[in-house]
Amino acid sequence: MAGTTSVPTNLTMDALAATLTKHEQLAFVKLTVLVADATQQNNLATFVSFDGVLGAIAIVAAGAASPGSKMFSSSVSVYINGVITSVKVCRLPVS
Amino acid sequence: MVMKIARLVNPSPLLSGCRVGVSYAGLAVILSSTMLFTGCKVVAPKMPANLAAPAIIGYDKGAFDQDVSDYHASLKGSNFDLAKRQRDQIVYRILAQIDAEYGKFEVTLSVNRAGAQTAGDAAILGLTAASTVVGSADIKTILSATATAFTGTRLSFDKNYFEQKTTEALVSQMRATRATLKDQFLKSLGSRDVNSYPLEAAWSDLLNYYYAGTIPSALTEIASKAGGDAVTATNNLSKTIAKLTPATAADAADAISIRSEYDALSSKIDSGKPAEIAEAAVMLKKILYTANITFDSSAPAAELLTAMHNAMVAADNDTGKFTALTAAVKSATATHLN
Repeated sequence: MAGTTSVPTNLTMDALAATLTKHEQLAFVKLTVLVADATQQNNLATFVSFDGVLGAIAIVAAGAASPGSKMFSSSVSVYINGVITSVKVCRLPVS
Repeated sequence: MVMKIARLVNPSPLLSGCRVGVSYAGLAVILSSTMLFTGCKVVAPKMPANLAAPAIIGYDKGAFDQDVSDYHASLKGSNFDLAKRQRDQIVYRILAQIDAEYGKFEVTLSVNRAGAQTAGDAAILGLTAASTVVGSADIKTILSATATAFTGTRLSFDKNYFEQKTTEALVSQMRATRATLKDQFLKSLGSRDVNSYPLEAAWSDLLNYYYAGTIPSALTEIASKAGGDAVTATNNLSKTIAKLTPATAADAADAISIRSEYDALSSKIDSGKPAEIAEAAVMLKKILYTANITFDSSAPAAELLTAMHNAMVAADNDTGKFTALTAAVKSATATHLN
């Protein structure tokens, strides 16, 4: 559903991407913000309602080659395997 | 006003006399003194002119609109460092305005409430005292009843507007909530860039900060604290519900398959072609039936599509429902292809 929700902090980059993708596809929403909330030691994801077709999300380390198109203009910091990590969030093309 | 009340106490000149005249005088003294005492309410020193007229944080709509426009231009030009500074400047100016207004509100609240309570006390005391000095039993009854009504109205006002909480308790709660929110807020401004914490997100926090300095917010916070364990339990439950269920790459692929099938069926229904709509309805019934989802078999295709939509949302954080829906879509599409 739309709004801001928490995402587990102990996931790998691939598992985080899969979790966000699954939510987008089933809840008819689109990811707009992803950030580590240091005060709550939590990952926060904000979604808006979206009825169009979306490709899967890919998350790669900051500086790595981007698969698909970059979703946010700069790197974001999130908890990956429990550690704050700078990553890029990308959208894979619709197959 | 005193004369009017005196006339009300003894409306007939026929009843005038020495004893009643003394009563008038007593009544006038009582009511005059109550009014005198309720007029004194200086509780804070005069604020220095420069602080009282906050030119430094004066922020008219034109300047604000221009700043927001500049912020968006910086974002568009990928000048994120400048955008962050512009965001911070906008937010700090609004923050200062909220703080200035809150300070005035806190003083006004204390003064007005204490003043209203004192005036109410004085009126009740005056009416009660007056009822003892008038001679007529009827007038005594009227004055006593009026005093009772005053007491009741004051209690009702306190209950309905302030839930019978003291001003100190309310101010203390507002200050505590505002301090907590301000701490989080300033940390966010200091540590987050405009991508993870855009002006719109800061604006939302500003609104929360503003409302934290209101009576309804303070009453809610106090009531929530009284809830203790129930609040903690609710928060834990909310966190559990709100947390997204971790997924694997296979789960993501299945979710995409379900969504693709949904979009294909939606396109068929939107086409307006009877044959395609009928085909979509058959497919939707297969999916819903296999996934063990209750539906009306005579419902039009659009309603069946809505049922699938709801099933998808329900499957988002329910592994059992997700597995069932995945299997149903796979089964229906395989049957269709065969």
